[in-house]
Amino acid sequence: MKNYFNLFRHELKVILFSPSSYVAGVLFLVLMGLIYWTILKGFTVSPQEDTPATQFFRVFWIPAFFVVPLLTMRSVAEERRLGTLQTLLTTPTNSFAIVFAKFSAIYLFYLFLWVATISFPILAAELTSVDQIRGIFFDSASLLGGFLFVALSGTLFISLGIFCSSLTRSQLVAGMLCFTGLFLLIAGSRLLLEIPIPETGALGALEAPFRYFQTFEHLIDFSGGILDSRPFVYYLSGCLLFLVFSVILVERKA
Amino acid sequence: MSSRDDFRRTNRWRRLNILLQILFCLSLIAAVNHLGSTFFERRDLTEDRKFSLSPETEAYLVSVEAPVEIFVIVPDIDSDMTTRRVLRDLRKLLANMEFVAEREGNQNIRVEFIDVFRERNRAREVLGRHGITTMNSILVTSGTRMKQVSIDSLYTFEDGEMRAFRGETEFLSAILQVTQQNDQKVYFLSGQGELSLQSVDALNGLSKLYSFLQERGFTVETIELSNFARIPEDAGTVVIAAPATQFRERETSLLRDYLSNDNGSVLALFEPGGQTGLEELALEWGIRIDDRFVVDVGPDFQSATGDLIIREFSEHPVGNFIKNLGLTALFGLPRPILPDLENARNPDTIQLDTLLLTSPQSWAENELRPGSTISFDESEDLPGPVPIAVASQRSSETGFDFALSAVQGGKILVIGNADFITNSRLDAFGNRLLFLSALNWCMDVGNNINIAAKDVRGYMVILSQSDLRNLLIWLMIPASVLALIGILVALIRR
Repeated sequence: MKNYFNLFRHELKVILFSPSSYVAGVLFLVLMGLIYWTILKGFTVSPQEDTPATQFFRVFWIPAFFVVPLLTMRSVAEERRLGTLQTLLTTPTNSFAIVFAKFSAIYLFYLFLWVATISFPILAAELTSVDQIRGIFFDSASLLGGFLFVALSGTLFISLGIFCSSLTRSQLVAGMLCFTGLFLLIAGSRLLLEIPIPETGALGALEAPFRYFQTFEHLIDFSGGILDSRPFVYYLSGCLLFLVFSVILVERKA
Repeated sequence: MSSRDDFRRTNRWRRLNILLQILFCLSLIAAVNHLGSTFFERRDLTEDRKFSLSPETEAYLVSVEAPVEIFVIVPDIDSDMTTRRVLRDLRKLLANMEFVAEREGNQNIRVEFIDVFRERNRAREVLGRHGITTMNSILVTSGTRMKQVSIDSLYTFEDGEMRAFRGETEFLSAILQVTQQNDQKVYFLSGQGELSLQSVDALNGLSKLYSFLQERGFTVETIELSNFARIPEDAGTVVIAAPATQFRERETSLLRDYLSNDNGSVLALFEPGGQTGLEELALEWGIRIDDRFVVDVGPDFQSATGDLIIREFSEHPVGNFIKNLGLTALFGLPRPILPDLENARNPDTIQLDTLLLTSPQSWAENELRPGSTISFDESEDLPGPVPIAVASQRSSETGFDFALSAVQGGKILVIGNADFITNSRLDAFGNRLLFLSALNWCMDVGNNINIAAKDVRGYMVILSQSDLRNLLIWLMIPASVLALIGILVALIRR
């Protein structure tokens, strides 16, 4: 456990001192700021069915596609390329502590970026004087649901990124693999529902698991303020699976 | 054995070990997810439980024992904002209903959305099974029983804009109807020269109405009172559509017993001119069937053909339904139907509502003789707005703390016109919805369900152009701060 905390502190330092983290962070905040502004502009044109927070979280996949690969692609791949991973494994530490320390440091930074977006409704509310309108920005149900979804889905996405990084020595390949993996998880799950499956028979039973993997369905629920226990199980168990696979890969390929 | 073989064997064992680890992991995660998807919980964090069913609905759904299938057969067109809105609201609501049924273990509700463009054969098969010809339909079925839900009835409107979603009430009402054991019928009276359900005549036939009611899942039959000793027990309501001759004492007595003793309901539509024989009975219920006819000279209340356009609907489930949809009704010549509580038999227990009114420029004309001039005569005529439909309901509310079960129920709705449901006018304006709404009220469909509609009004923010410009700059502050920190860290590190 002590090793884990040392590694975690080290990984956090690496992220905080790495220029690429700041580039990713700034890009993320600029993009999300622009998205929030576009959403609010829509509210000034015509009445919208959902709150700004609900609409804001519904485009979470846009930053996820580039921030997650940027943050995770170098985690294991770079260490393996430089040969520091082998050195690290000669110390009295296990590969799970190494992988989990990398995961928790990147996940913390990812959460920090999303938490920074809470400044958007605060800044928008500062500009409006009417209390009733200010209330729209701070709809607690959609804010809480949205942030919970981001936090939950983040576990799976970051662990997938680390798994992809464990597969190769090349950061670029790791980044591309991560992007493809995220695309399959987010958009691909939706495409599964497009497959014409007969309602009856053995294949008919596939519809339920296909629905279970629908990231967009989870997002619509959470960003609307509905908490469902199923996505908790799906994302957390998925995260654990990818972390275990990463540990196996680190041990095997080191 | 050479050391090379030892390495090979060890490698094989390692590979097998990894393979087993992966398999165990996968099976463990699959099992956890299976359990997670079977036993789950949902919580609605919204203040007004916007995405949840009311406790009343949940209680009703749990009590549903027969399997119910709900088919939403509408085109899934992304570009159509209204369709998107309707489909979104329906998906949320019906998913919740399915969820409640699933959670409680009876799993009796199954919902299927059928896109008529992509799944034409499936749509045809479902519609054909229930004898429906309209492609855009929402059906609630249980066994052979079916109820159609109108998309219009799912929303309340204000100035032509959707204001609230009342799908919960509509679907619950439909589910209860198709699963209820007693099969209530709508009886149309015959024998007094009433309009015929079988007749295809444009002016005097009700064949279109007959098809419309059957499509909506009503069981409709015609009875002649002279052949019966009492109104059949399975009567949900009795419709009297423009009798040409007067009701005799025996038939009136049957209707009186049905209303008073059996807590029945009567929907009566009377054309102007002559006595109906039911004046006394209606008056007992506080409704005066006036023997005049209504003249309306209000320019907005007359169609090009001289028919009356009814625009005034009072606060009552029947009138609200049409009013909320922003519709009007097209009537021929109506007769006044006046509320007269003073002459009712038990005025304390009766609740009277005027449903339809003509325009303020109208009046009830006394002079019916051919060739006579029609003009407003203060001394004889009744000034407008003239009531042309009145509903009377016997209420159990008294000054006592307990409910008088012996006097509960019984209702009569009298409309001073019948030609709005004939084949030539049924499809005009909101005529058929008006009749449907009146029939639903008479049959108590959904009246006992009191679930608040969900507000669908949108959010709007008022910001000037300069506010928007400033906001864009302000929203870049977090990114700028992070960029500054990044630069500082880089400088320190250097």
